[in-house]
Amino acid sequence: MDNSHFTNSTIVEVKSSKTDLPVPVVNNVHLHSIYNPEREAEGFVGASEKTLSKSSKILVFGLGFGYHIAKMEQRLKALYPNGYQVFVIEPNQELYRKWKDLRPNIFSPNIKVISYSEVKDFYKDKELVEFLSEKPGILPHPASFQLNDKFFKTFMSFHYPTSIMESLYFIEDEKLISYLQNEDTSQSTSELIERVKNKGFLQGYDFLTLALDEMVEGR
Amino acid sequence: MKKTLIINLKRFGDIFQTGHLVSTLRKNQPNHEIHLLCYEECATSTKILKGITKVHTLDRKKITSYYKNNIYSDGLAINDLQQKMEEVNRESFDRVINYSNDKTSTYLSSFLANSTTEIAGISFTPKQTINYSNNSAIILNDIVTQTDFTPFNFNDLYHQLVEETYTELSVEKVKSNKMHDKTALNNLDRLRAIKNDDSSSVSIVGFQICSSSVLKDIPFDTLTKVIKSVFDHPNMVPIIIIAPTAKERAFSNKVNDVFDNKLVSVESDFIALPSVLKNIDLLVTPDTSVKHLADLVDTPVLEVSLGHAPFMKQGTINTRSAIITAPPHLRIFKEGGEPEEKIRETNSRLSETLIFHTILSLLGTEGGSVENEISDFCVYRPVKVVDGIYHMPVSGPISGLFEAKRVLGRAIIQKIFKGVVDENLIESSYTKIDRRDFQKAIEEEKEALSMLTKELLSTLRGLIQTQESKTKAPAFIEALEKLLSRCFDRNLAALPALVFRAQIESLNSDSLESNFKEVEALLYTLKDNLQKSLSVYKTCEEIGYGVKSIQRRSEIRNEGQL
Repeated sequence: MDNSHFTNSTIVEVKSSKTDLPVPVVNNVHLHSIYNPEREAEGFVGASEKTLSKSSKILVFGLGFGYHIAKMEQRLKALYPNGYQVFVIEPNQELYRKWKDLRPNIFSPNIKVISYSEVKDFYKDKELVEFLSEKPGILPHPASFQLNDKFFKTFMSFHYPTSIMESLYFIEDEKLISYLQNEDTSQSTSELIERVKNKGFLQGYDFLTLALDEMVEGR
Repeated sequence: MKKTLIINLKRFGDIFQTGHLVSTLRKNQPNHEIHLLCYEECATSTKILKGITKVHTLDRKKITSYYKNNIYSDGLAINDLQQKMEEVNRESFDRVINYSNDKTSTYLSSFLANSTTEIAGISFTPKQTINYSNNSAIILNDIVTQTDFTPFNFNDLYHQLVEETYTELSVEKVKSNKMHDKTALNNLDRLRAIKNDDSSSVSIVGFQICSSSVLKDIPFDTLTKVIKSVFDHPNMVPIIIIAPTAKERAFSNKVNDVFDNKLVSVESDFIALPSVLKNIDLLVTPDTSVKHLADLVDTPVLEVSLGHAPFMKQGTINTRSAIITAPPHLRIFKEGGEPEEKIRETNSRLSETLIFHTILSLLGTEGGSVENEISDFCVYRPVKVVDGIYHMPVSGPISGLFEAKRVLGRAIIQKIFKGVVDENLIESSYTKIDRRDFQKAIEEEKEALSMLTKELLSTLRGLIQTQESKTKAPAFIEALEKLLSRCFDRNLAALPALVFRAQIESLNSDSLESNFKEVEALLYTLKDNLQKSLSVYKTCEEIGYGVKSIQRRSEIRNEGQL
């Protein structure tokens, strides 16, 4: 299922603002101010001060053409001279491509923009997942969020499939992959753990599986 | 160079406590490189321990978040854990010490176990039975977790896991930071000089005011009254010691408000804290990780043990320290074991006078004597005994019966596992415990032992009958279950029963026939252990009647003649 299910349209027009900056328009919705996108971005940063001052790690919903992100980065540089990190989630891949072609804004390497065809693909991005585990502050770009609200709501409430087959994607070690593939890979992790508990003979990764079960329960 | 890994998945205080074992190993087993595996969230406490070659960490919070949060694949948790443990496994340890002795550390120890890696402590066999590395592992896993009277403290047991005995070594256990040391020394000496021209006569008493639970904290009024007594004393200066957190700062301000902000408050992280503790004369604290750090730098501690704080297992072990506690026979050393209201009511009866007099006593100051103090609370002192440290009652409404059982319990375990008993401890206990209490304890325990012996003989009979005819098996199983249920009795007969249960649970036999043979052997071992228990009671009685002393004096005289 690709994100067109969530986005209202993938067709992206580009107009020019009064300040001669490119402004994306999706389904007649201007993602930035047609008058002065940079001033509008300053307003966005001002309204986001509370979130920005609480965390040097920020997750932004919606790329637009990045004016809000560029202004936000200026603020983050001032607040966190020792470093900060931003991920930008953009479901509209056509918009993402146009932004990359036009490059209306240049960001530092501390800012990463990602766009995938499915919600699940975002959660397969190991860098993003690692970033999410650090509980970043979340800032929705209002125009992008409203345009893609179904996508972002699904993103926030996603349930990653729990089968062993789905887990294999994240396993780096060949021996561990082999161990898991020897099991019924349609079973869930919790089913695997129960199966291991009832095994008559344990070795190697069986002990690790049971250690995981105990650790996450605080035992 | 050999490699030892200590797996300690507990919290800050337990990690500090590991410092004692590390320093013992450094001294007595210098051919071992020592590594530590702990959780990431507690890794800061490892930075100050001396003698650790490398610290490995598991990010439990992240792994748990990956596993429990629906947005993440479980594969992330599995991968993270495996990657870290493979890194640990690649070190090829010669020995792994299962220090934290919980389920996670036991499975991890089992994962690391192989033909060249010995496990000290418990691990699981492939058949999921428990493998005990030695008798101390049985005591740590099965006995201290279940008995009221905790015959050994954890630090001693951890040492015994690796066949060592804890002694107060005069080696540095904590890394020095010269800059912090100099700052602390100068600042605290200045405080002494302000108090009295003869600054060497001034003692600085540090107050650690916050613990992890309000039920373990010294009640506010009591705390401020004690601080005032110290503040008013001509030769003492109180300082408040806090961690750099908003909560502790706020509490420190609340205390200082009572003193018009005249108190000195020292805010310190774990890196700088050793320097502060080294330069004070006494630390007064509830059950906190800071007391373990004070033990490491050999600063005496007055531990005020409230709530569920388990002082007999993990109290201060410095012989210049003391512990104030409600009578232990009335306490429940388990979080949630007592209603909060009851704990608060008990804590409210803690008198500032007792705390202050104990402070005076520990500092060797005039007016300090607690032996005759009348209080609802007791004072205990850690004393050096042959196999480590024992918390000896000094004053207060102790239960002679309870204390007698503590001593007897320890002696029974020594007799079962080592064949000898610490008679000196029994003898010195008689100076604190009325002989009649000992006698009453022994009589009660002999009765329990007699019941257990009957059940043992019944079980043996059942086993023999089952070997003759398998139809008798149900009766044997029933007798065995009844025997094993004695593990939960709150008497000393439970001790040999617990040892028996541990041995039964670690049986690895494949066939029913060899199982019967092993069970039979263990039943006879239990019988021996019951006899040993009886001999302990006899020894104790003889010491009580002075018979043993007379015999020893006679032996000494005879040796002299020879």
